[in-house]
Amino acid sequence: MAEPQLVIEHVTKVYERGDVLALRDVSLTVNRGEFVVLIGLSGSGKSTLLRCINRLIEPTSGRILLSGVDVTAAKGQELRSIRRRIGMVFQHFNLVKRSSVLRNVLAGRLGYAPPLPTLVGRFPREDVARARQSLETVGLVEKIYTRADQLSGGQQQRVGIARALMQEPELILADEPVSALDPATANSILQYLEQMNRELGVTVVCALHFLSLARRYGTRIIALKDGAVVFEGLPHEIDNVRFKEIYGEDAEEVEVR
Amino acid sequence: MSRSRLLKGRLDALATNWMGHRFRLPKDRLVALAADWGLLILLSYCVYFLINYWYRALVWVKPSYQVPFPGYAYVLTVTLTFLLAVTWENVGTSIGWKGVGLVHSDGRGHPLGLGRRGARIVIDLVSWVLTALGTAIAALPLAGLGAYIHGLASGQGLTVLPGAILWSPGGWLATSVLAIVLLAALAVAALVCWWIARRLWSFLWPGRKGSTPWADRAAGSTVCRPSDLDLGGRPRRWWQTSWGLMTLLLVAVTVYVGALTTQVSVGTLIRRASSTGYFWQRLFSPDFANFLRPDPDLNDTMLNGIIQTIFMSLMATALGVVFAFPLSFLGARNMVTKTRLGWGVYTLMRAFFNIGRSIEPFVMAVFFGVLVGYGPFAGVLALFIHTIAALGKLYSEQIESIDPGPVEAITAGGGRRIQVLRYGVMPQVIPPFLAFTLYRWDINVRMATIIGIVGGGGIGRFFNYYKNELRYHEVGAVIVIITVVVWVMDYISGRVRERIT
Repeated sequence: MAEPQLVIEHVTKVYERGDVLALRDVSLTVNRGEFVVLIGLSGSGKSTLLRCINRLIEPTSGRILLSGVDVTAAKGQELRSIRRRIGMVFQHFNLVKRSSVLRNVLAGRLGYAPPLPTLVGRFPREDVARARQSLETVGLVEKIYTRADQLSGGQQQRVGIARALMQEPELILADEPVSALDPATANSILQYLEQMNRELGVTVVCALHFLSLARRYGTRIIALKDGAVVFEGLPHEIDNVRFKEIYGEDAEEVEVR
Repeated sequence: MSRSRLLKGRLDALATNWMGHRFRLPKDRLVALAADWGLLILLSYCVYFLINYWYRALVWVKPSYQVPFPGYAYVLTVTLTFLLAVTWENVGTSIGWKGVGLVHSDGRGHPLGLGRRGARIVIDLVSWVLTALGTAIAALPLAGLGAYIHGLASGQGLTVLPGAILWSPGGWLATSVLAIVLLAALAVAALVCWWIARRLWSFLWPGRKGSTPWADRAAGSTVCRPSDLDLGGRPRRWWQTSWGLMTLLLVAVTVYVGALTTQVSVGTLIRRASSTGYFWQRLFSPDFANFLRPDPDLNDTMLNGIIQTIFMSLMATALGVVFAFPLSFLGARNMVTKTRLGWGVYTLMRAFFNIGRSIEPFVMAVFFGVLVGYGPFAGVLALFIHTIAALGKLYSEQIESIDPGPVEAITAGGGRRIQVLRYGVMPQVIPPFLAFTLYRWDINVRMATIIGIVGGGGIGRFFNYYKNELRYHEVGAVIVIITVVVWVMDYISGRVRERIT
């Protein structure tokens, strides 16, 4: 089962404008079917690392392999076909607020759909059917023609997940998907991710703030601090000492159920 | 050396210079100096104007008399105001420094004492005077060249500089040697001048170890934000500061000189108003006879005139949108500035938008009138150009303020650039674009009504004709029509815009 799907080798990222070292020589391996949770303080490099994986951010040096293919060397069509295999779920959902739910979900299919018809807003019939199906999966099919900004936060994030589902992803990157949501909704969103992970076998790499959520959903936890990996192991291995190492001396754990 | 290492070196130098703060200090100091200099030049203009004015008022001379102000006085004014600005910034907090938020400090968070400020003033003044002298000496060959060209141009041939060298008593060899020595001396002067300037402005080009301007070094001073300064008590009120008093003086003097220049006079207003009763009487009894009946002199009805005006604005807006829409994407920073070429395109588009907006449609209508003949088409062209620029700027600013989230999401899903535009950007900008377009149409109606005055057709043609023929009853009617149409358009576009956004 331990088949490496995502291999990150010595990735470093420097933001020149602010002269900030965001990632320091990060090396990781994620196996197929894992639910890896990234934890760490704000600014520890979680978001940067996730965005380096699908090249929304260019790593300064290092190499990233997805199923043996070098992501960092890909260009143009090759990069796009890698990206469409990687679903992404965002902290602020990143939906087009003025567009309908259907339109937002269909946007996830742009990597597959024929480019010219999509420019005038036409999608293949099977894509629309697939969108309906994805919305059923997240239980929002009755909101299909609603404008995205009329949904609650949790519903918007479910649309975000449905959009990621449209890509038939083999890997999902979730960038603090529940930070903008209340605890009850947070659990339900993470359950959708867990469901995709278990039932569809999609590998998930998810950045989270709360350790309790990380313990509950992660099969493995990786902690970042100041852009470097400071812990890598099973959820129950994070004890009080490790916790202070990751979050600093003054931190206290907050429970989210 | 790679770009990032260069950058790093620069940042480190700045850090050592300025107490570890990485402000945009060099730029701030430059902007402040430019502002102070400009304000002092404004003040000196006002002073010269007032001297002139009072001299004419107190001493009886003919009204066209000007107190002499020769060419070198300009150079002197510009130089002296610069030195004054430098001094001002050293004495207290100047308007420029207040504006960009900088103060002098002794490097330990306290204000600079009087002695240290004095040291700064002396060193700054001496080095600036030396720089000015050096520049003047180094510019001598240019003056020589100028004299030579002037000599050629005025038909005196080689009588000036080269002539003097060729036929000098020492013979050509001695003269050549002398000339070379002279040129070398000038080069040295130029180098010295450059070297002094370099030390003065060293905060602009920090060396490898970081360097501090002379005045800062001598006075042991540095600059910081006002909030970082421990004043040891209550900060001064604005009227106790040099920037406050100077602002007061500038406002007072500018308003006074402005009133004199523009001949603002309440007396004239009252005196003249009473003797123009017939004009007002006619204006307020408008004659709408030509509204539906063609005016025999103009061969058209006023109704057709106003309809033509509305169509002019419609055409100008519609054509403007067709061009402004694609161009606005090229003028939006977040769309194009990923590459160097993109920066070039962006800068070019921005320049076009800004220049296009700053030329009034009236001015353009005059030129287009020459090009295509005076009439509605010239007016449409003028409004069209102005609309492209104005809408392009509004559009591109809207594009710059979109939520980057959807763009990111669609890129992450493997979308092409064009699909990102279509699905990430367009849905966000189309409604505001519609609102801007309506707003622009509204403005164009207003502009089109009067553009006829410079030969752009429409209702403005009627206004111009009746005004010149002193037919004030009809002028009154045209004013009423224009007012009603503009008001209605304004109201409708306002209501529709409310609905859209």
